[in-house]
Amino acid sequence: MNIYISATLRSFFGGNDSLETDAGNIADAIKFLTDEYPDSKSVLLDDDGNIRSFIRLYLNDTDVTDPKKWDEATDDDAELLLLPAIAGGRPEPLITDDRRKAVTLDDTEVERFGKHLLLKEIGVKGQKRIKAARVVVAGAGALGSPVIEYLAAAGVGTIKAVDFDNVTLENTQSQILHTARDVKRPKVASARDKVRNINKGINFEDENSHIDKDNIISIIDGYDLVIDCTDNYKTRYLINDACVLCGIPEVYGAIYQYEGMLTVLNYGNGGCLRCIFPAPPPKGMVPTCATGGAISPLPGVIGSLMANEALKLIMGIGEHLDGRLLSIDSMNLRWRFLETKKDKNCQICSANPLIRELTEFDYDDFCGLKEDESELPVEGYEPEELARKIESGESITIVDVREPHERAIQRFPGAIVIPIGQLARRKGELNPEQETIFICRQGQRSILAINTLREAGYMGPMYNLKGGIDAMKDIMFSNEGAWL
Amino acid sequence: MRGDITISDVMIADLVHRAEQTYPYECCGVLVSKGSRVNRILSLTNNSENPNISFEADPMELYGIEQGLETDEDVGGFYHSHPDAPAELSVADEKNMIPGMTYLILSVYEAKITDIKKYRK
Repeated sequence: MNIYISATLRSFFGGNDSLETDAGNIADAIKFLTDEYPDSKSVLLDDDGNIRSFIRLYLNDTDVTDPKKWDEATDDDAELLLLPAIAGGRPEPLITDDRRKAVTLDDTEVERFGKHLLLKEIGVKGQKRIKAARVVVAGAGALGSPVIEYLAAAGVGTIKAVDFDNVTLENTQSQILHTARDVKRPKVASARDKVRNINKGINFEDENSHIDKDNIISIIDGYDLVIDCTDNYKTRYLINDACVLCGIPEVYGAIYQYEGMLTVLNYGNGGCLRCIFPAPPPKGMVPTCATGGAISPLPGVIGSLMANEALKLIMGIGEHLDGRLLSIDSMNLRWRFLETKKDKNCQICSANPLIRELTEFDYDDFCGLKEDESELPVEGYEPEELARKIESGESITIVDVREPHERAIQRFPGAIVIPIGQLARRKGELNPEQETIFICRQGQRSILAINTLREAGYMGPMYNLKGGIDAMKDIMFSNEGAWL
Repeated sequence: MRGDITISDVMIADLVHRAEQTYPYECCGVLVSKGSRVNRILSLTNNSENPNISFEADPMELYGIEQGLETDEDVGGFYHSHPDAPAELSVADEKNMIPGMTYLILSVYEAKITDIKKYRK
């Protein structure tokens, strides 16, 4: 048999354009090639020994790429052609041509979206794709605010906002959907008002509920894109897994203090959240934006970029963040791209996933939200109990484990100050003969503090202030007016 | 593996013309090289059933082209256009890339070139 090597592949076969072999069938011919030219093996065959997608085999002008034909005996004077497949195509926008064509723009819309229509890459076709799009925004808080507003302003036809929470005054520092007048209203209600004020033509759907594994699939199924604007790991992994199972791409973003990141998941060359972050950080290690704080415009920066990615995906224009994570440090003005890879052994998006249904997976355990039964329970006092102890003049030690800048907001009178990182080293400052009560802002880090001291071998009685200083705000002491 | 190739402005202008003329369909073809430069550009027939979003050429057509190359000529790579889409590799594009070959993608919006990008695997 004579084997013709295409010019495109010759460099893997010593530059030869044809090779003679006494192989009696195609399977043996392939074996001859990979034995003679070991470098060619990885070019012809994948890791599982299957022929690569870009290789085509022809025997006397007939396509014999299918391995089923490889064992048939061939004539001695047969010629096997080793050629490349020449195929490809443009990346598909999320909104297909058929759906675009089913949409029309009226005169008002032509006026409203005039600035989009001026852009060559968007134009009427792109604007129609935007109008046909159906997008779910999970979370109507800091990141959800700019995302929902810009999607509405850009003319996304259907926007579904999901959030269980009500507006608090604290939210208005960064959540620009909500105003002081919206306090105590559901976040999705003020989101609805804002979207209606921008464009009455938008089909706005609100879902005032907690995302859990029983409802997430029905929330996102049938939509084109999901934008994750939530602030906790359990919901993020739930949304990621549901998007993988439903085959929906996701725009993911997160913020913390002065830094933010965003990426595109489950699309193109990118993997999913589990490929990038196989597991959440250990419990208590990383505060959320709610407990760690964030500078006011930061969610505006990250959220606006997320909305921009969403629109580009919908229209299929520009470069996308699949396979890359954009990390932005607003304090030092650093903007970095980190390459991400699809994990071949990913628990959910690989060829052989461990998770095939959400109900099979314990998200609470995965995210460290379950009570650890092997750990001794930490005893705690209610704010009222601690107040009584202080009032009665009982000999107790109060340890404030907050950071210095947090204490500047509000001091705790009579407390000694030991930041959590110094506790083990400074345990000698505590009196094991009397009760020691640990306080922090919300009563979580103080539990960590007690466990840290236990590990360090401290034996004295330790108690946690339940709910932290936040929970004590409303308690009045007789010797001072109000607390605040 | 084959080294990278360079392409002259005149040939780029030729490619731009081909991509704009073929709009709203995808064009595709072979970059014939001589040394490390593109010497000639040869079109391939796009047999795709959806030529506005994809291209597919008959490998036997390439075989025919290879038979007609001069002795100092070689196949350096391929080009194709993306009508109304960015000059980014699609999943199908990447799947069919041969290591060592040079690939040019031309992005065409409304019959005008907006971007050209080169890829190698």
